[in-house]
Amino acid sequence: MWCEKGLWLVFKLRKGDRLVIGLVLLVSAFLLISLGGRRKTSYHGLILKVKTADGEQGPYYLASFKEPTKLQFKGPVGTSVLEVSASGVRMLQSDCPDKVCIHMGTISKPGEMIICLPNMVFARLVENE
Amino acid sequence: MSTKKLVELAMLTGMGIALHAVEGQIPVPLSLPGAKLGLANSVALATLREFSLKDAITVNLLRTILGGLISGSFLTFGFFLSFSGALASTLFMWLAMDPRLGLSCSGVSVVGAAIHNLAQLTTAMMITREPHIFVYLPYLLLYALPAGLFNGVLADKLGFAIRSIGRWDSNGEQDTERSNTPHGYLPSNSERPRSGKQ
Repeated sequence: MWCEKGLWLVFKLRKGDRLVIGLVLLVSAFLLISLGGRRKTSYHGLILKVKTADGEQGPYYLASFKEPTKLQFKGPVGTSVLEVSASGVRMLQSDCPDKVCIHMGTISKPGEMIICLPNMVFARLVENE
Repeated sequence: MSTKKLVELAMLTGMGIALHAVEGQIPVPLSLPGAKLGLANSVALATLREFSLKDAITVNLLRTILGGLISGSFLTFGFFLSFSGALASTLFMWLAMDPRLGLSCSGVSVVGAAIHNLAQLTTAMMITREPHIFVYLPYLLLYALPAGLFNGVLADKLGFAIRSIGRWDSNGEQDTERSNTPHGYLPSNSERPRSGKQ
């Protein structure tokens, strides 16, 4: 039988494989450095910009939220609830199947994002110019 | 197309749908949108390796369309993501199978996984007009590396399985419709001999 040695994951890498692995590592390292940028807390406060299937929502000035506020956004799958407070934004509840957006936690720095792909909600923090 | 090949391709398509459905139930411990093991990709690679580009594209596109109809995501955002990813990764895996590149099964699979991510992000960007999602590309590429290596080994084992079906043939004739990939045979990652036939 084809599995007489068991489903043992022995494998050898060829020269081309090492090249591909090196290339992928190199590209991701390059992108991490170039796209990562600086992630400092800003002096002028933060703005939350939300993009949904209906278009741009906001901007919401984080400093104006004295206490945590729930914002609801409708998408193709259902409703996504963002909790906005002065310190940051997090996805409180979402009708998407995978809940990746909820696991992203709280974002509090410029450039950080919360994305819910199934429900098409893109929340992004930008610096107040 | 012989009945045998038809049945084998149908089996591979079913396998792809099942793997894709099962995979959706496995939670990914990363907060990364679109990070998946991509088990269905190994089925695409095995088809590409054992049959041809045309068959691999047929199997993979049927897999996304039927999978979309079953899960109810047909013609939604997620469907377009998986459709474009499947098409692009199959094409680029075929290109990467060129023997001059000296890749093995796992290397080709890593190429497929990386291209899958790239195509999905590009499609997502075109639909949502949100270029900032490319911030996730390096993380997705880093995740594609182990996933691709694993899928390559899986496709390798799947190839053994497909070839061993031929040995149970009643007439025992050589199968002419198989292993006609234009670039020749993709080397295996394991130490077992590459042909299942004695």
